[in-house]
Amino acid sequence: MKKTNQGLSSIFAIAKEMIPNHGEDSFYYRADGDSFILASMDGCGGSGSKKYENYSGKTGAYIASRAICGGIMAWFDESGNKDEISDYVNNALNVCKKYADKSGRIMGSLGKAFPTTIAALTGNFKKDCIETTCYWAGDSRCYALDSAGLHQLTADDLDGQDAMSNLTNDGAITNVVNASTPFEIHTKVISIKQPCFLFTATDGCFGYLKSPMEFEYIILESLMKSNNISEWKSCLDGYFRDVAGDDYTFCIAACGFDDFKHLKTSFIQRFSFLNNEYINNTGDVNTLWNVYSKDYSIYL
Amino acid sequence: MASNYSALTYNVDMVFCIDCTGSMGNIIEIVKNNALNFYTDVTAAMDKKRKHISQLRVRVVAFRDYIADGKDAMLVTDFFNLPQDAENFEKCVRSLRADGGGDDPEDGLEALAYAIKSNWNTEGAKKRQIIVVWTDAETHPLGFGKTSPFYPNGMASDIRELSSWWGGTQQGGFVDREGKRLLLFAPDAPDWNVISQNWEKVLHFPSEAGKGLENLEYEEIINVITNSI
Repeated sequence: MKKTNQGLSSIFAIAKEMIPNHGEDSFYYRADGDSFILASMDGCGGSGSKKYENYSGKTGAYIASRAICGGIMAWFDESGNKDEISDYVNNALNVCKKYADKSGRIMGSLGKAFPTTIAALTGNFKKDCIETTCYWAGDSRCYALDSAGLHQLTADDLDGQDAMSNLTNDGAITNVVNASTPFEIHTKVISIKQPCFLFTATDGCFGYLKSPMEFEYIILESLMKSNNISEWKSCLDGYFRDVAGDDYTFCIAACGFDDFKHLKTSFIQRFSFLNNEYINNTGDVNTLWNVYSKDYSIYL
Repeated sequence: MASNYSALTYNVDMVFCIDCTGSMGNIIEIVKNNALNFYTDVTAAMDKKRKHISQLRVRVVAFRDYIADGKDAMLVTDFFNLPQDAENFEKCVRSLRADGGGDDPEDGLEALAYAIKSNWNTEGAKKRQIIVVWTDAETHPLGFGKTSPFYPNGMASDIRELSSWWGGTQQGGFVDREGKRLLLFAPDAPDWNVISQNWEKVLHFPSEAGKGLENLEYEEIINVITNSI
């Protein structure tokens, strides 16, 4: 591992389709000079289950996540202006609609044309920090992980109460990119100190664990077991594969670390704290969550 | 590698509301076979997606028309636990016959009301309470069959009350607010289209009245259900 950009130590993705060639997730990551982008999209398989003959029999969810991914790639290449991302996303949706066959329409509040989530973030390296802009719609998330722990950067578009209740209540998505109904791509600019990890994730990564604490734990436990980025990637993929009940996509940028040793040692203390206070603590998980959520929710 | 982090499992209840009037004659066998295959097909599709059902129960509400069919207007079963009760469930479904119905609209709303008031499983971290309606006909308004001695007491008086039974953003109903799903394989006609447009968590696959449901792809239906879980 070596620095590829000022501040950027490593950037990679982990992704898995539950059913080969039918995965409804998509992703994009790229570093360009002093900036980078991470994006994870999750086509909504229930509401977007309509199949389109004109798209080789693929579902609207499958098409949407890929088309929107293309729109975000074009936006990052051509613009990068946060006020223009919606234009690129809508252009991609218009192309989806234009070539879609009209038969076999699905109606109802759960049925949407080309529905997908977006969780994207761009990072621009400043002197001591990263100016991070998050873009999202739906229940995919942007996160930061630093020595103070895991922080969710984006508020879920779900009708649940918080990250803990959303794991069990499994609430309905209240806002998602689609070609049937109005939607909003939320944006938020945050300044985050280095060193840290920034990442985007679809719900296959975190939605099948029993608490948000476990999500941080598997990221750090896999890191502690590894000796280089390649091993970490493989180990974390194994954790996701063990628990995920859906396609999963995870795009991560390691920022401000000198090398893998620095990266790993930066989290030894946090891993130990997390283990003692939350994972090996036999107390009530909701009580533990109430404590943990203070730092976890600091950017929400 | 990470066996300590076991995935959550699902408790799934399904209610199949099946139109058993004469006009369903040409497709009732397809619908019955679909209903019978649901357990294996849904669990297989779920397994492929690494979603695990810990308990699956199904029940059947077969409906016709109270005025035209009297005591045969509504067949309502208890939940069958699958796969343990698979044999009894199959016997029940195989016994359904397409017959009667009288005029074109049927008493599908009463069937839906029975389904909504099911004795749902409220246990488990993740649960789904799914109602599937198969019909080729529009509905009578609720209460149309009231003059029949077999019409049930305590039925919702109109579509407004039935909507409150389903529940919405403001008020809870008889079905789990997060876990409920209503899948309609029904014509784009009253009152199915009213429900489709106004109720939460509904997927409506419009079928052409009189032409039945042949045009619906079974695989697509399974995908809808699997992805709704």
